[in-house]
Amino acid sequence: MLAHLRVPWAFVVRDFREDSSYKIGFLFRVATAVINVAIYYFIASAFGSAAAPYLSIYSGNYFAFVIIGVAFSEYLAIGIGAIGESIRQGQTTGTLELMLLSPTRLVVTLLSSSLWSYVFATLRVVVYLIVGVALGMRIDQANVLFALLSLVVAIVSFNALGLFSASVIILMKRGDTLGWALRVSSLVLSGVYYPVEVLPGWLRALGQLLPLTHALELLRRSLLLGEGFGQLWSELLILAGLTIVLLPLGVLACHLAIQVARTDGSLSHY
Amino acid sequence: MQPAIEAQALTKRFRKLQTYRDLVLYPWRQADHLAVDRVSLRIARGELFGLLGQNGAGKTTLIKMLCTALLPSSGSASVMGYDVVAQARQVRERIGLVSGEERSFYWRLTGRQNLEFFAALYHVPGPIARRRIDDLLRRVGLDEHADRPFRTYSSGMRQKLGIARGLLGAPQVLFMDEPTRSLDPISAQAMRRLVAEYIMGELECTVILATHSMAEAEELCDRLALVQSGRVVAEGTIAQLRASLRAGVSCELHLRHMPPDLPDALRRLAGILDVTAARDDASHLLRLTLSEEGPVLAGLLREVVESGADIYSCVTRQMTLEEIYLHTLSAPGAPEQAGAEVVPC
Repeated sequence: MLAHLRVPWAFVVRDFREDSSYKIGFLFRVATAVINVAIYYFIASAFGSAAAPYLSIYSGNYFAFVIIGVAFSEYLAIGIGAIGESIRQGQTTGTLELMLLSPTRLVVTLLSSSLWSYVFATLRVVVYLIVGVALGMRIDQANVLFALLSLVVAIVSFNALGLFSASVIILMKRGDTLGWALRVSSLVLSGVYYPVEVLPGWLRALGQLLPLTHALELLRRSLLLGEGFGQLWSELLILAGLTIVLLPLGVLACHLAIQVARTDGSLSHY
Repeated sequence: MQPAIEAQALTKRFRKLQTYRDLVLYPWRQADHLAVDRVSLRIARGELFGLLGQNGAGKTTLIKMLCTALLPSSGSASVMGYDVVAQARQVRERIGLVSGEERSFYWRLTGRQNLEFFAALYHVPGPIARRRIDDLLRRVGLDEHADRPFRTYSSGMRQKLGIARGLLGAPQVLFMDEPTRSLDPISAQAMRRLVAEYIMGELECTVILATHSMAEAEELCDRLALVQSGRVVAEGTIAQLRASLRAGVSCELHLRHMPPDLPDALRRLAGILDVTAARDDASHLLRLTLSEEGPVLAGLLREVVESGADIYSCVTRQMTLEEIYLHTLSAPGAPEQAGAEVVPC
């Protein structure tokens, strides 16, 4: 069992060593989470009451709504961007080809390459929640176990989207249009900053195809209202279904992209 | 015994990149670049096989196909009995690659941390990895610099770390693509000793070495292939190459009173492949390439004496690898410089 974890652990250690060697940047990224919470606190103080009618299902508190939306959408940004970013870094540093020539399986290499980003994102989410609670956000009745279960399923689904984005980077090197489109559509349609109820019906329907929509619904209701499997099973099932469909397709897309790169000799090009 | 590497008509064509103008004006036109052309090789286990050729001759492409980084366009190849396309993972478990590429490390990590990362990718268990890393760093002479960031390493140190990385997985076959490119002569000599004594002697690896260094190839390689325009134009031991090229002996004659028509008369003799003449104060210097010593040399000397010239000195020596290389790759019948193109439509 431990032997199987050696490769993911090696990636986490590598990325931690690299990231922490940029000491100011490392601290700055933690500090920006604190600043973000403060900004949303003041926005909620000024305009939160206007949003209250749409938020009755989430305890009516816009500050708590937006903090959870912004904090957990970081996982989406990581899921979509981190694998591609790691591949891009491997292309420019010339390490990608050597990594792919090792006996480690492709899917393990790709998924492990985003692990440290998730660890760091978790650190930022914890900062968001701590500062949010300090400024009045209430999560005292949170169903933590269910929220964690939802988060794990959500992360896998985000990574599946990230594999599609990584395939584009393997082939096109620059200009990750797919990753950009997935990130923007998720931010617009999934209810990160506002409840999806304000969207026109057809946009709301499109939003249902995105994993972030279901992930945020699960996380808000489990953290703010303490709901669990009894109330949220259908939402969890939809998210799991999306994951089961997207993950093998994402792995296949990466395999095909690497085959193309191995054919045209562009694996180490950038 | 099964060979370490076997290639049958291995070929690689690359699609040539089109300009924006071509994409607009000739969207359906496609042009290929033939990088490796029907190469067949059989390399025995424990052999050190050299690939020599000019830049762009196809050596790196050939190595990349054999170590599964590139898919062949046609033909087949196996490494330690495993097909490089269908059984790529099994091949990767048995090979190591030392690339001439210096930048293929993490610059903010130390040399040791870089090796720890790659050891994990090669599934080397922790305690074994630590021992092996210490041992390899000592052997390549980086033990005192192991804990310095990679970005502070000189070109030579980076190259040495690349050699250590190639050996991390205890490979059965090691591909070395210009491993001494950035090394000074002393470090290059130390690297050659490492290859001969440790990699070949102790580890009993099969090594495929692509190099421009004739001294390196001559000192290390059991057999060689001369590669030009993606084709193997000659293959064998240095002695076999000399014999097959029928250009085995170089001869220098210092003469006095040389008749002007002597060089032309010598060119007509059987077994004399090349004659150049130069004048040096009172004497003449003739440089000749003979297919062999013995009767050819005897006939040469007889012709010189009968012409009335006085022979002041005669020095013969076997052709060096560099001379064989230059002779083979610049011979009139040899294929043209890299870049042979196939334009199907």
